[in-house]
Amino acid sequence: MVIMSRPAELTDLLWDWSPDGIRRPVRPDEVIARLDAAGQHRAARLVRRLPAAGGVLVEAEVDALMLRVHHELQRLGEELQLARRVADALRPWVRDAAGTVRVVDVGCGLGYVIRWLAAHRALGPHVELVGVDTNRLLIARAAELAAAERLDCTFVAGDALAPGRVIDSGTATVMISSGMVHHLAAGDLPGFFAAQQRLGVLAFAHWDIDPSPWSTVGAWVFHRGRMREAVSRHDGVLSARRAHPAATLLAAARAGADEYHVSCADTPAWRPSLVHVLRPIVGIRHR
Amino acid sequence: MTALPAVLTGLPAVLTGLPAMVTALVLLAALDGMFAGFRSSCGRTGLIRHRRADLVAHLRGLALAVLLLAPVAVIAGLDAARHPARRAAYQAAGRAMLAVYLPFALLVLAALTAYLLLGWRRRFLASALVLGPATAARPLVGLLGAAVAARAADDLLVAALAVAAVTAALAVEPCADRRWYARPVRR
Repeated sequence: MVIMSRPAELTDLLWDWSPDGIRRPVRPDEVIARLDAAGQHRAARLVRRLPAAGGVLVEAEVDALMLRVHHELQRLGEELQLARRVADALRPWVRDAAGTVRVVDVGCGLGYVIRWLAAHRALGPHVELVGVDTNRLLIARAAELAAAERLDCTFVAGDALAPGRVIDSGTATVMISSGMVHHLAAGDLPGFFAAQQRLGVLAFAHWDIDPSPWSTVGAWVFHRGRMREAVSRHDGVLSARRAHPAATLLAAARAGADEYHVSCADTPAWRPSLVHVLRPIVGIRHR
Repeated sequence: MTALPAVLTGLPAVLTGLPAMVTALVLLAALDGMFAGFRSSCGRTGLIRHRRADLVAHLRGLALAVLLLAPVAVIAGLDAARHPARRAAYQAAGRAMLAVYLPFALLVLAALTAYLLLGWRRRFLASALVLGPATAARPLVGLLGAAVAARAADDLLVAALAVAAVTAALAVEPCADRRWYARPVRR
């Protein structure tokens, strides 16, 4: 189980997958005690409502919830024009690279961005699109959806940062993610970027919420209006609160991946920009 | 009948006649039902190309709105036919509802037009500034319309039917959720 000192998102607590893709049972009493201890009483109440048997959460029920939450998340991604933002940023890198480029979406969930890029052939023909997530349930659904629309992309369950798992030395790779980085504790960020450097990726771009009081309020309004699942609403607002500021991301990227030119900019809190509600930390290899 | 505040009586004259008013209310209810069906389907298909699923969802919402609002419409129609003296109360209630719902609907339609016309970078603005908050505010706007209609009609049956109509309209989305979109669509 992921241990974090910051307020926890329920999706980080209700499902426990090892990097090898092995599922571990989740005890609701432990989750509730932890949430109550952290002052997250509303989240604890949500967990109390979930069905349990033999002292552990009923996997089929939480799986169904997980799928509902991630389908709603995809809808949010659509409204935020997330996939278009990604395509817009990646297009020059892919165009300038010689030969095939592999785009790997780490923590891809239902693989919305990868499937969108495939459906719209947004990056051209010499691009391999791969989505990776440790959650086998989500990867299976992503593959099912891709097959339903006959999309040319691949989904792999496991740790995208494990050497040889998805990235080999033969293909130029761009690593991306969306809404994933805030799930990592600040102390784990340098290791996250260092792993990408070790793998020798050509570039990385990880999109996340630009944190500010405005984005927290906006997330609350938007999730109240759009999301049906209480877990989605809870985690959506918390995502905005948990997002790392650009300074934290830049310091971590420079510490972990010094072979990359990195950039990331937050919008000033006094001049909120709804257009830039999501922004990436970008790294481009220079040696 | 109770007089409404001036801000709620500034309807275009063309909409104050009974046929135009009924037509406008029916159109608003139909649009609201279609959008409710669409919202219900959002975040359930998982597909990238979901235009067909969106169309089906709009039609389902429309069908549910017709089904749920029909009893109210039938009762109101029969009552107005049998008791001509009460027509003024119905007209006052309808006018009050339109005074609340029409500006709200125009705001939403303007945002949808902006969504369609703006480039993709700015498209999100329509959602963030209007469509998302409007979805959150919709139940309150619905109840406000029922309240001002009840006050304007000053008639127990008309007020009850106004509340029933708004309740029916607000029930479209939860009904669609339960009937078709309780869980992600498997394929």
